[in-house]
Amino acid sequence: MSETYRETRATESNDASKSYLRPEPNSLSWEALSNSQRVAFKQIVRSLGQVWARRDDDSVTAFYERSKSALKRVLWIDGGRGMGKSTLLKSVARAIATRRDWNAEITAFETSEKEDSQKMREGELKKQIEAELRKKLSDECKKQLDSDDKVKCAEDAKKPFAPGGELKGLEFYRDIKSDIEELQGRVVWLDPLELELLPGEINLLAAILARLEDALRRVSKRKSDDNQMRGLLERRDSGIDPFHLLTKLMADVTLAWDGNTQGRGAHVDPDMLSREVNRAEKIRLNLAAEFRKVIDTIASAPEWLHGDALREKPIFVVSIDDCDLSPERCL
Amino acid sequence: MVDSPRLITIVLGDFKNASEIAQIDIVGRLARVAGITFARI
Repeated sequence: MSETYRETRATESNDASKSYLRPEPNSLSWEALSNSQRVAFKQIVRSLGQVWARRDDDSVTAFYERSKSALKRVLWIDGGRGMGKSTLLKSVARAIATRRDWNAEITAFETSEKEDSQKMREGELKKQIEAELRKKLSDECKKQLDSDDKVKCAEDAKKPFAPGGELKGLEFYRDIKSDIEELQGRVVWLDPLELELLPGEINLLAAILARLEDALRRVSKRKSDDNQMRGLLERRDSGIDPFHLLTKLMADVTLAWDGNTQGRGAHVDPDMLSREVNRAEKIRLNLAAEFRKVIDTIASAPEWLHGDALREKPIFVVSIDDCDLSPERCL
Repeated sequence: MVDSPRLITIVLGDFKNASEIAQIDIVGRLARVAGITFARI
């Protein structure tokens, strides 16, 4: 096991043992993920890969053809409180977003695996595992240790995160490594929507658009910090301002869902009311197409390609946490 | 359905611990959007 990797792990372990509070969800290395998390990890990566492969599939306009492709872009991750759903998602995001860190960890993990295997063959690690097992494992396992089934028990101890299942080890990771590398530099992770923290009434589409705008503004600011500032009235290179489109769409979304025409009906001139109702309906009718257009325009914004942030027009991922607290607001 | 080929939504939740009404609601909605990718940890 490489020294740097050992030191990092030892520091993490010591820090964790001193803490009396449950840590906030944070990304984990592949080694630290549980078996079920690894399986879900793979599903998420593969799903993102499918979305990436069909990213330009926006030519369908008829309503009866539109729905099929729409269904496949929703993932549901189910798990109890504290089982590591948010941790899993952060781990996937980190694996894709910070490629160098993740690869370095995997390399260290690979090295440590090889060295551990070597030591296992030499019998050092086996003795250590047996000693630990005698202290920590259940009575049943202890009986096994005293029987001829020592090797099997030692193997079980190597997979504490995999009760009853086959360990999804490094081979399992290698299976999706190329998928992860394919996605690196091509995905923008929007800030998650935490339903627990949101007010009772929320327009989810507006919330997603706000996160899109926020993500774009951040890369835009980074670019303007590095280069000469652009004047307020100066034209953009691309000619289309994604911020302008976003602002217009956000206004449309508000009008389409949160308009107050019904409440004002009795106090407004009928002609005026008719125009407002028709306008809201037309906005609703075109909303799906407008949404696609705006997302595509935002993805085309040159800001994403500034520096080493992204290498291509990205896809966007938004997560909704604690769905069970308010399912009617997120599906 | 308002969506885009460039946008993917990941929904996290504790289905088993949700209230009975919420579970019925979720099942109904999952059925409505059949084809949803599902992972359990």
